[in-house]
Amino acid sequence: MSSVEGLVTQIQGRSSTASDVLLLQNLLKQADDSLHSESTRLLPFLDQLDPSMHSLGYLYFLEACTAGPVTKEQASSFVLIIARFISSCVAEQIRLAPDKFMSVCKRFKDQVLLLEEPLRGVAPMLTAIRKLQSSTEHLTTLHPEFLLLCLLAKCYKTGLSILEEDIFDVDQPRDLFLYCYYGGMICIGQKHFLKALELLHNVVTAPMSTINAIAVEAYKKYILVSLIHPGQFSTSLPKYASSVGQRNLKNLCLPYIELANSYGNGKIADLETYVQANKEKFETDNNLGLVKQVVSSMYKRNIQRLTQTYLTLSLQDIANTVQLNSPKEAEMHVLQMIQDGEIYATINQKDGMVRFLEDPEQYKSCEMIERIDSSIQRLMTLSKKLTIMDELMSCEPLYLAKAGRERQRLDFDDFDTVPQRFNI
Amino acid sequence: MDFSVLNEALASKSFDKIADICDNLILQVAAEGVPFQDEWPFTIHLLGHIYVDDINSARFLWKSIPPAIKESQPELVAAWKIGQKLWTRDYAGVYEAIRGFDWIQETEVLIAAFSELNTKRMFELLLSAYSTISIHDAAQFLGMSEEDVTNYVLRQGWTVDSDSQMLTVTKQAIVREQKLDPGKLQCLTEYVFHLEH
Amino acid sequence: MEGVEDASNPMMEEMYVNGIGGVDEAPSSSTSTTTRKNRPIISGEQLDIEAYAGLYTGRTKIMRLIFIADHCDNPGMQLEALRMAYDEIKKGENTQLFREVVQKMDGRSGPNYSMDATWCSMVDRKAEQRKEKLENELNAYRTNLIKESIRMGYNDFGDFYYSHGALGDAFKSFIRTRDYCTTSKHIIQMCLSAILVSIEMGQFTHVTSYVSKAEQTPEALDPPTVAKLRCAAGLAHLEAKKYKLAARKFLEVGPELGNLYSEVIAPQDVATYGGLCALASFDRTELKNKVIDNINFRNFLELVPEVRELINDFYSSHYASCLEYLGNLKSNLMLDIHLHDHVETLYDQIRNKALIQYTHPFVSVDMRMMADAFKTSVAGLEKELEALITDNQIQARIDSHNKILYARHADQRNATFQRVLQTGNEFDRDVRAMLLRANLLKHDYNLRASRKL
Repeated sequence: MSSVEGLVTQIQGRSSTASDVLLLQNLLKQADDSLHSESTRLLPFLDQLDPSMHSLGYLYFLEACTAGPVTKEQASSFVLIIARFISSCVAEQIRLAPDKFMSVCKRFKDQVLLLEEPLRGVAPMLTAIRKLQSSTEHLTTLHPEFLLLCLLAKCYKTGLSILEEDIFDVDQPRDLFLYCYYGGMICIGQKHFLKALELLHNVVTAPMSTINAIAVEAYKKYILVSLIHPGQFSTSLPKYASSVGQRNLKNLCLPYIELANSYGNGKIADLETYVQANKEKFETDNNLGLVKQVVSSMYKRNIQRLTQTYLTLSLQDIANTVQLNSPKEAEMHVLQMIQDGEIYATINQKDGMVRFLEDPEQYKSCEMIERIDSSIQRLMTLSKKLTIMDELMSCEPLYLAKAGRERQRLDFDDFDTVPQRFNI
Repeated sequence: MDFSVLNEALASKSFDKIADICDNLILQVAAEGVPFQDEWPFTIHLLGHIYVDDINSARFLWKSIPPAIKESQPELVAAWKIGQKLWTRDYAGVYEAIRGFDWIQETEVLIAAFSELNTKRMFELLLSAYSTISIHDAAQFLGMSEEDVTNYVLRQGWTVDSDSQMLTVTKQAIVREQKLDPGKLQCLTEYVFHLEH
Repeated sequence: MEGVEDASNPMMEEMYVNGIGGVDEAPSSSTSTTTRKNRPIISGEQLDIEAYAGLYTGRTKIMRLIFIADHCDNPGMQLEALRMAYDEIKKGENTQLFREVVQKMDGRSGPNYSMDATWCSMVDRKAEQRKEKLENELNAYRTNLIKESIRMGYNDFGDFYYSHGALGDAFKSFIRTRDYCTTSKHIIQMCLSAILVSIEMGQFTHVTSYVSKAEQTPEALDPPTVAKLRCAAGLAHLEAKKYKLAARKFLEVGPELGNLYSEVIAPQDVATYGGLCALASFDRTELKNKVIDNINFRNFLELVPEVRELINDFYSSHYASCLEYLGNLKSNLMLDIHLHDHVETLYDQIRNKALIQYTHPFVSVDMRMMADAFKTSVAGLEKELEALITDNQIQARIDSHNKILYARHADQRNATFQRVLQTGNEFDRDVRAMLLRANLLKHDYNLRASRKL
């Protein structure tokens, strides 16, 4: 009883200066178990604390409150409390107890989903991420939760804003998998296929010691997206993908690999037959929509191939080559592609012809110079980062020890930067 | 709910900002936990997305609206019809959807602005995609009658061949900026220096 | 196995012995190499089987006749070929082939050309006796350890097996002489025998290895042998579809060849194979240097004037004429045992080369004129050109409306910019992914390290 009240007073008194807060933290850590044992009683005490000033204390109390199972009625009040807490808490204080903050936010997400109102959680979760992150390059456990809420609430555009940021620092590998997978789905929804491909590629090639379901699902989508966007798919994973992945991923996604092979042959009819035959499989994986996009992308691919060979071509011939039903359909397809900037052409209705043009970009404008310039700047920054990381790595004793041991097995020249004393 | 920012944007005709304003506002309001859907201006929100040609977001917004709301707001359904036509690239259908409903005054402003923008976009599409086009098709694309469309394009400098009912497209030359900032040259010099050493 | 001939330019004799307009004399003997002909044997006209067969000796003659019988669609020709094969076989000792040919003839050529069981059993009996004798002799030599005798013993065995059609055994016997060869000449003899059997067996990898083996003793090689080896190498390359290498080999064959290799190949073949392979695989410079300006090879080409003409036509861009010659020659070439499998490919390659060469000097080409030149329809030509453009063999684009082909010269500057931007993006993406992966690995490592500690 009194210990809780005492704790409250401590919190109120010691939350102003940084040194006080550190002392407070020790106290709170010691009192944590007793707080948890009295979790049912703690709710009214929260009113005595101000989340904007006593963030750390509030956090401990809040975490203990929400530790047990929560009913739907309780959920709606908790959700409000947590949302308000997140928006008003002080970032420095909560960063002292990041694990607690993350569990509170996770429970927040669970409750929001329990209430079936994912939209409620989107803004608070975004704020939470910003407060928890040490920098925008830092991936927290909350990132994938946020993306999940965006997906469920259909706020794809908001989700995109987080995806724009480059991530280099990861807390937990598992977070990355989910982040990239959900991120890929959001990009697919907004038709940013290139970014989706990048994210899914990261999942598929990430280091893993055992195959996990996220990677498998990501691989399926990866195959489909790489058919839609660049239109090529190579069945071999790059060398740096984990050996586990290289051995197993393909076998678990066979219908998709077959689809990619069929696509490579360029015949629409075969592709459509294949899709029809395997419709249920794609549906159970929730990929049928994507598969349909793959099929329609084949028409585009075939028309694009024609631009390489022909200067002008009749709409009838286009319809025949690409296997469309009529010249009018061909015209509509070409018009769409012109509108989307996928080809450069003009349609001549009088003669029923299409004239394919070269890319009008002359690379002589100011905008182009800006683009190249900013690209160079970016790459220089990245290069520096890479060099720094390389230097750090070269001084790492664990790495040197392993390299020294392996020296005999590998080419000597690669390792003459490793001092001799690291030989076994 | 505080719609002052939104109303300001509507009043000042900054229609391209409406989508972002609505998106942010809806998140704030939802976080408060207050049931807002009955009072939320979904129609404006939807049209805001359509105005900036973000049909993806419009689609997702439409999917997230509860069916009860959809049933009770015929204007919302009509607004979505425009989005649908744009999604399926039924260019002629867009005009029908615009004209096929009696919009309330508030929405009418936005609809009118969008209509003008859409016509302009369609015209630019025809300009870049066609060298000759039949009067009939042009009328479909621009949502005008055949006579109106002929007059419109003649004013833009196209030519008409009434025998074959064909219009020939004439493009205006576009001037692109070519000035070079001396500061850029300095940057380039630095890069080359950096690479050489 | 070698014929006894005067090696000084026998081909020229053949060419001028009868003069132009001479009467067609009946061939004296199919094994004689002074067949009198004034018409070229390989030509666009229907193949004169007798004359053709007259070019060859030994087993290859029989095999070629059987091949012609199997592949021609003219029953008269078929029977003639089979009859000649029958006669030839009866001069030898191969009962297996005899039975085969009789079966193919099926009694259609009358009672003179039916199964002669007595002959078969007689030959088989004699074979048994000869084999026994050879075995005894060989054993005797082996006990006496006289190298040269043992070598000749194995050689005899080889000849024996070869004439009876047991090619595998023949090959093995010849190879066994290796250990008993004392001079380079012996080795060359062994190689040539091995090559012959390998060609008959269709095992061209052996051919290649024994050719190189033989070429390792250059001091013992006289010009005819060199020529033979080159022919064999050429055949091996042809079989392996290495047309350029085959062409080079055939073009290096000297006139000393004459008819000295009639158990394998005729000089007409050297000309045809060499000419067609060269046309299909050489570029213009090589064609000029190695074929058109090649004096030695000219002699060979004289034997097949149509091939000579078509090569000249190709070089001087008379494509219609060239393709016409090719068309006429096709049916006869399909009857050639070595060329049969390659005719289509070679023809396609030659045609494609012609198309590419035609368009090369021009900025724009009227497809209607081109279609006439290549004796095809405009639509057909369009399809062919499309395939070549997609394959990047022609840099051009088709104006399908006006039916004109326009050469397309890539804009280097634009292409460079595009590549640069793309490379930049890829680098960006790859480095970021790399940094991310490194970070993950570090986590993993730290985790494991902390567990150890």
